[in-house]
Parts: sequence; C-alpha cells; structure tokens
Amino acid sequence: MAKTAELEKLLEQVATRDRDAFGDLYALTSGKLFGVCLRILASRPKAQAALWSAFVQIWQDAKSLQTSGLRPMTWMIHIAHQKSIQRLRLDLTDVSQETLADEAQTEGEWPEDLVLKPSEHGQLINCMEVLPWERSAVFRLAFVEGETYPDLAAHFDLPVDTMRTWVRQDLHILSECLDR
Amino acid sequence: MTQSDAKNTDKILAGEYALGLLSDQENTEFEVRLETEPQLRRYHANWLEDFVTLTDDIGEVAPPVGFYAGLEKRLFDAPQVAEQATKSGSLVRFVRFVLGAAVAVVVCALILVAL
Repeated sequence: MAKTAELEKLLEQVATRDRDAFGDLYALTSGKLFGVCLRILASRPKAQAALWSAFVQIWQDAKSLQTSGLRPMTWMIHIAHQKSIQRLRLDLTDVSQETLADEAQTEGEWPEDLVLKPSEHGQLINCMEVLPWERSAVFRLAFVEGETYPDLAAHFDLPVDTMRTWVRQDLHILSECLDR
Repeated sequence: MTQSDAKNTDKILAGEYALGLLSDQENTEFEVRLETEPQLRRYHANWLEDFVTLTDDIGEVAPPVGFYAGLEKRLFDAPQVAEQATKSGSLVRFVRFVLGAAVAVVVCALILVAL
C-alpha cells in the first residue's frame, strides 16, 4: 500500500485540481476502496456506485483532509465506508437509488487542526481481545459489514436495547484500553 | 451530569457514530455538533483511526476497466468544454488579427501606389 506521505502529497495536489495527481491517487487507492465497498455491499454494481460517489467526493473535498485530523488512507476509507453504508441503508429502506446516483455530498470543513494520538496497528485488535468473542465480533459486523443495532440484535438473538448496552459498555472498555 | 460523565458520554457517542450505529436523526444531530466542538471531533477521529484497522484484512479488488475513464468524464468534462471555448476564443482573436493586418497592408499598398 502507498505510503502516508505519498498519499498526503497527492491529496494536496488534488486539492489544487491537479488531474494527474488524481489519476495517480486513483491508481494507488481504488483497489482498497473498492474492496471495502464490496465487503459492505456484497454486490459489484452497488459497490461501483459507492466507489464512484467516494471518488467524486475525494476530488471535491481533498482540501478538507488537512483539517480532518485523519491520515489520508483513513480519510479515504471513511468516505468509501460512508458512501457504502448510505447505499446499504437506502436499499434497506427502499428509497430510490437515483437519489444517490452520481451525487457528491460536500461535507463541512473542520476549521481547526486536530491533535491525535496516532493509532498503532493492532492496538484496537489487542484491546478487543479482552472482550468475549461474540462481543468483539459486534465491532466488525457494525463497521465492516454495515450492520445496524437491529441487525446486530437479530444476529445475536437479543433485544435491541441489550445490544445497545453491550456496545456502549464495550466502547467504554476499549476507550480505557486505548487510553483515550 | 458531571463534566467527566459528559466527556465519557461524548466518547461513546462518537464511537457509535464512527461505527455507523446512530439513527439518521442522531447522525444529523451529531454532525451539527461536530462542526463546532473540537473535542468531539477528536473523539470521532480517534475512533475512526482505530476502527479503520478492522479493514486491514480486506484485500484490494480492481474496479472494472473503464471505470476511471467514466469518472474522469464526469469530473473533468465541464472544465474541458470551458477550456475548448477559451481555445476557440483565442482562434477567433487570431483570425481577426490576421484579417486586420491584411487590410492594413492593402491600405498601405494602395496609398503607396497613389503616391
């Protein structure tokens, strides 16, 4: 995968409407982003639509990376993830697909720099190991598969409120473990 | 609610938002707060950096051939039209200049002949 500094540089150039840089960025990241979209949506056409929306937003909002406080790949995966989840939820609520077609939502810029504690690879995974296995699976199902509270509750055959309590308790445990 | 309770509640809320677990209404309310609350943005960004590691084992899948060409067309076509219009404008100005110069040369030649 491309280095953070390389992606930062490319996104800076994209923010100045550099088309060649956008092409290079696409070449370096589209495989990973499409993989994420496909994992959530489990359908190539839907994943393509989500990827399309994601790259339109990346082109239009590249300058907001600098103030987001996120690393470039996290920022791009976040956008692809959001587009996929939006599409997934639209499918579930049977809203017209056209409302998302070729859209480009411009998110507000974040005005101040964020000072983050950088996430170390595997730190979350280590912390999740203190949770019972079924409860650590909840985080993957939510973030990677796009499951909602009702989905998760159905998955584990529990009331929605119990699932909500699980997640909140476990977020608290993870937060302590991650020293946030 | 104490300050510490509020802080913990916001941390958990930011985690639920990053996981995509909030309802549409809750999402909207959270996003309004994100605009003005740097601490909340920090909580959210921290969670996101952590949760994104859950996608580490998702492999790369190449998008279909021609996908990028379509994207380029969607994103860059309008400016290209503008660019072409600019180029057309330059051509018109050039032709006008050449015609103007030709007329001036003819007029000068006629004057010289008359003298």
